[in-house]
Amino acid sequence: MGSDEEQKQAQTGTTSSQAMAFLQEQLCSWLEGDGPEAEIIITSRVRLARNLRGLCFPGAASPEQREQVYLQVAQAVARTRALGRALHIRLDEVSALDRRLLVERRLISPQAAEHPEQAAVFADQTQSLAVLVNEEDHLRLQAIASGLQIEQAWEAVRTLDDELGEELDYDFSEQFGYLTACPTNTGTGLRVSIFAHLPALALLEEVDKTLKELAGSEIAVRGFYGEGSRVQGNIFQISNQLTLGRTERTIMKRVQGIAERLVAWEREARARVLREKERRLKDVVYRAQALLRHAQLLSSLELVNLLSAVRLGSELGLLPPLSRSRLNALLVIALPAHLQKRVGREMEGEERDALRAELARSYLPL
Amino acid sequence: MIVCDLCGVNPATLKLTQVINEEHTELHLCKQCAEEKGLGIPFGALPATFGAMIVGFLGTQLESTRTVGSLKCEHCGITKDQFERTGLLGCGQCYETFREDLKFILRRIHGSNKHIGTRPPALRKVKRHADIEQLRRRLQEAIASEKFEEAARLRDLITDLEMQRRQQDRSTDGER
Repeated sequence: MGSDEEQKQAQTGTTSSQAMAFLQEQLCSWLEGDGPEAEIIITSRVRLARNLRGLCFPGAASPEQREQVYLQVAQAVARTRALGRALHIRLDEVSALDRRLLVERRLISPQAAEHPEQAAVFADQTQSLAVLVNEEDHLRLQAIASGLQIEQAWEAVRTLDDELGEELDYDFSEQFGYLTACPTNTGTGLRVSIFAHLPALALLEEVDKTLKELAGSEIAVRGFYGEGSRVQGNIFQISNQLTLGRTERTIMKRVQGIAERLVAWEREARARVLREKERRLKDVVYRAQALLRHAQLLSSLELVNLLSAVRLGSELGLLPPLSRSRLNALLVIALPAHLQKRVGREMEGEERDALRAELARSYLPL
Repeated sequence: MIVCDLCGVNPATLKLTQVINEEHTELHLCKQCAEEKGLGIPFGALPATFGAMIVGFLGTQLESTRTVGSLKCEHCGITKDQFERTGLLGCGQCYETFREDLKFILRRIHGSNKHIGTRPPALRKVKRHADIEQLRRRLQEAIASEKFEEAARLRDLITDLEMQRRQQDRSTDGER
């Protein structure tokens, strides 16, 4: 491993561990909350799946083949303008905890964290553009932007894809398009997704109705339901369902259109909540404020719900203004791997919950 | 008691729901797996399990209609059974090996089995004209038979393709 590490250092100027140290200090730019419509659309993400011709997909490939893919991609990435001097992390050179931190940063998938052999991630310093190597597909290119910025994220990914496509022989068929390991990605390999924060619609119990109206729009909506029937944090992920038989532009326009409708509906719902359900709204917001002030133990899920309520309270003027970048940052830095990296050791559940509660108190002037 | 879909041991307390049009897919998780795998937060990544579940489900519908026996890809060694179980293909060659099944599966997933999006840089310039001409003919047919929804879709598609072609012509002319 030693000589590989040296070779890589000569190529990129950093080792995996140096890159991890950098990441730990430097949070991603898409958490800043400064994009258009960022009070409702938290992030926009665009990703492309690509494979190299003639080599088995990572799940079926031998270690030698996976290594070959890694080397080819590393060389091609090094020649791109956007990622020529990227942070470069071999997942099999860092700890399991480091990999979980990368999952929490949305730089790698949970699967890649579990199967790190010959897998790697290249990311720019703001972590808004990245290439993941040897996960489900040979390459996953992704761009993430704050707020509703699908077009900007697409431009970043498309430019990178064109540059890489000049160097690499992508597996492509005239019939099926870009060939991917899972048929749900075949064709364009394009997944456009937004995370929408819809607390007022949730408070009015109109989320189901809203989502029903979107049915038939060729999109997938995902939410995490916890105890009760509430979606955790009132955060919904909306993405295109289809990748084949549509052009990239059609796919993007579709998600963009849905995002714009959600923004309009949530805005209207916020005005209505203030008019019609003020007492209920205040109850939710001030309870969350009190818990964030005084709770000594907070689970990730509980924190996400409380943040949703105080974020709404702050945006509707019931609480003093809270910085959106801090609220967003807490969604990431209070996650288990981030907490453990912060203190530099593994922690059990209760210890983590205590540190999380403390972090929330110090981060938010409530 | 519902058991966690990932570890198969602990009771599931969380439910990740995916709604595609009218179809709900649910993944039940215990708190521990959700946290450990970074799935416990709505902001997190998604398990690949979803894709596999969808494809696996479609695979089972194939049995009676399509190829029988254990077809196997010469290049990567993946069998049709394996593909149906995991939802994952092993290599690009699988698309040829399981071509007929895939045409069906892809149509079920995407409503189409023909790619009309961008092509790798090396293959561009070629064939784009032919595609657009064909779509124009279909548009005329759709209008003639008063299929206006179809016509509107085709018109959007042609506009997209023309825009793409213009962009690509520009970039292959040496601007980029």
